[in-house]
Amino acid sequence: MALNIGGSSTIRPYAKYNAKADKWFVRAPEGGDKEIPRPTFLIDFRNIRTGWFRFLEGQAPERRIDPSLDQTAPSPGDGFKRGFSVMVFSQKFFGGAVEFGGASIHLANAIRDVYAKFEEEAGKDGNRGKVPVITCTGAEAMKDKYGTNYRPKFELVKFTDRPPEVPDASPVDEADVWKATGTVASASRPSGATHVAPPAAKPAAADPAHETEF
Amino acid sequence: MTSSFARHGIDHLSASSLNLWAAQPALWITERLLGRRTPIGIPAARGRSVEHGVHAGLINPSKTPAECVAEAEREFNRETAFTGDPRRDEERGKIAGYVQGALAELRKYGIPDAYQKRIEIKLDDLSVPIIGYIDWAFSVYGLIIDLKTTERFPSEISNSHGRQGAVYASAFGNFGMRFAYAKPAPGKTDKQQVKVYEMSGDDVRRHIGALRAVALSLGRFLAVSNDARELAGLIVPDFDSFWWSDPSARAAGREVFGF
Repeated sequence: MALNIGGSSTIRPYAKYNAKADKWFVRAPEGGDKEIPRPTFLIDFRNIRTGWFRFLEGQAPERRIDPSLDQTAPSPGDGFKRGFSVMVFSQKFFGGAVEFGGASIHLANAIRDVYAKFEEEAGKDGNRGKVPVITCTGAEAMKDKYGTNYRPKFELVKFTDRPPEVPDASPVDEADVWKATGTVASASRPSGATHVAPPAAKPAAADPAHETEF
Repeated sequence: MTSSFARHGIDHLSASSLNLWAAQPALWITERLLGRRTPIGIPAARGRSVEHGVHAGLINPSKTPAECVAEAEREFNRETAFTGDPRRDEERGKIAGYVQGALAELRKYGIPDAYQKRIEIKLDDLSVPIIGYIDWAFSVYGLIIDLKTTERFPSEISNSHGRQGAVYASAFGNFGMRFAYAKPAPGKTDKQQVKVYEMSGDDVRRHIGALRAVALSLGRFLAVSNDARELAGLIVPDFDSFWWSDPSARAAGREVFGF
């Protein structure tokens, strides 16, 4: 069954990594998953989002996206795991721009590490305003209580201009972003994230003699 | 007993100084302790120049945007006269857009009644005050506004800006603190050129708490020795960081840290 990752009602194209089998897949145009080789691709790290994800067999994935990278949303409950969502682009491997995400701890750790490399390099001359290209060079077998899973190996190859296929925008639906409510939650809400309009113009001061005193 | 700040000749701190200490302690030592100030960077010069031009237009509503742009460009030329940074010409070309966009948004607030006003706050357990200079205050609305020039809108107020704003807001009592982020041109999709974000009271308290923690850590570090060179020997710079991208900063770092 196709995985509905992107929106609440439409199926966006996606790429995914199966950490259990060390295999890459892309959503085929005719539906279903199509296996692809280890890809090299542009990744929009500037707009990557993190959050809580739950994938249940036969159901659309559920997600609660963090308000920002440095503020974690509370876990919605059982079965949710930390993951990420980001737009990636490769005509050769993905057929264009697709959403890439997941909640595998090994994949998330690999992405976290290559993101740290991106942060180091992004401010350097020649890289500013550009988008990184990474390549998957292999995978490392990780044995834990769940058996053997694989952690992909990524290398940051270069920075390149942002292609028109990857707009400088969030990959997630705003409706999926957790918003604090109530007193306790608002104490940790992020700084203003929405544009504040100027105040309405104040009326000219009235003649004090005409003001009502009480 | 003399405080560790006083022993190093430090009689005040600022949000920008503490942000630098938090981000790149080695550069803080180089600049603030050993006095090896590096020249103003192109992005900072751009910000100051745009602010200069916008201010000219705010206090004089009859001044045309073109006149304000001209003032900003003159200021930029003056600020960067001795820089060899290759980004200079490119950034100069964007100043007109920044000024026009910011001016259009900020003129809606009217005429500010304070500009570059020095403010000062004291934090618990800290022997020196934290000072700052606000961009503009609009007392009629109870607002302080700080202008930031940017290539792309942030999704929120960053920690470094938040600490700066928290100092301003604390000094101004019950004023609201807003940051106006101006781009050189409207976005291709959202057509927005300026976004204004406002800090909440919780934001201010959170950032003041962080600022105090950063300042106390600095005080403890300075207490280790009265010898600035000895303190420099305790820190390793990250020369790959953009903080050191200016050649003169790099040269100063090489001299201080020996590599």
